[in-house]
Amino acid sequence: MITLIKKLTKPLLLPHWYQDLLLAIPRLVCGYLLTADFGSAKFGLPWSPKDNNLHLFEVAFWFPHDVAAYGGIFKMFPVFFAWMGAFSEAVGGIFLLAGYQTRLFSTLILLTMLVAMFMQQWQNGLWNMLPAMGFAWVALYTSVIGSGRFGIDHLVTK
Amino acid sequence: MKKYYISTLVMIVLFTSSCVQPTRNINITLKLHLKGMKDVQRVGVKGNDKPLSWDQGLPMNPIIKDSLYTVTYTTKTGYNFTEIKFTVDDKAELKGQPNRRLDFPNTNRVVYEATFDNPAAKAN
Repeated sequence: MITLIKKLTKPLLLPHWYQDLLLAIPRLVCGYLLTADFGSAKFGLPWSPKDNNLHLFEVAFWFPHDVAAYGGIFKMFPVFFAWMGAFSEAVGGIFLLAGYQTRLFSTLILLTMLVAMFMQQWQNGLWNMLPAMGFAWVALYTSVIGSGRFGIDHLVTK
Repeated sequence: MKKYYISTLVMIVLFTSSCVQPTRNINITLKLHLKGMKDVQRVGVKGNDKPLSWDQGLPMNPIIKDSLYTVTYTTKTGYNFTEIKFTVDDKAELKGQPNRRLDFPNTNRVVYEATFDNPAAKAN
């Protein structure tokens, strides 16, 4: 079990430190935007907008309704999927920013963004899919390589 | 092992089910003054929270034709504010400007009085 966790945590390192630094930039920007803006607007964190009236780890009242509208399994468990999606953005953003358990949270973010792209924004056209697509591309490579040199994952596994 | 997975799944579903923001009913009355407009056919309001939407305006009723219109509705929300814009003959006001914001942190009833295309408003 410990070996598996270590394997999941240990990042792949590129040959030169500046290559890791370059790939860390989109990860840091996306992590920050997810937790400071997109996620915290619908998931209760200490920095959520005060007027949104969200308590800690609470999902916004409207989100399960939106999720239920996707139909199928989302309609069967709208609260679960809404909570998981909002958690992935708001809390996943913190972990992405810190580069801690990067693969695990990147996978959650990637799945959330795929749902956002194909279930929420598909009918609204490519332009509206772009934000979710941007996060998805970053989460895709961080779910493969992990945090790189510039993250807690590297510090705890080296 | 199977029991463990099922009970974990049930606990996750129960835990997340209890973590939805509670909502309350807010009763909102809007009064809209029109200035210098004639033969107005439709006056409405668009906004964030149901029964409002940004696609279709909720019709407002004339108190004085071409001058004063009103509507009262109840919205269910967890937030302490909502955002709206008025429309006259399907044309929205305040183009390129922020939406009107109605705050209701400590009340369940709001009366909001405004003049079309003029962001200054009086809320009670």
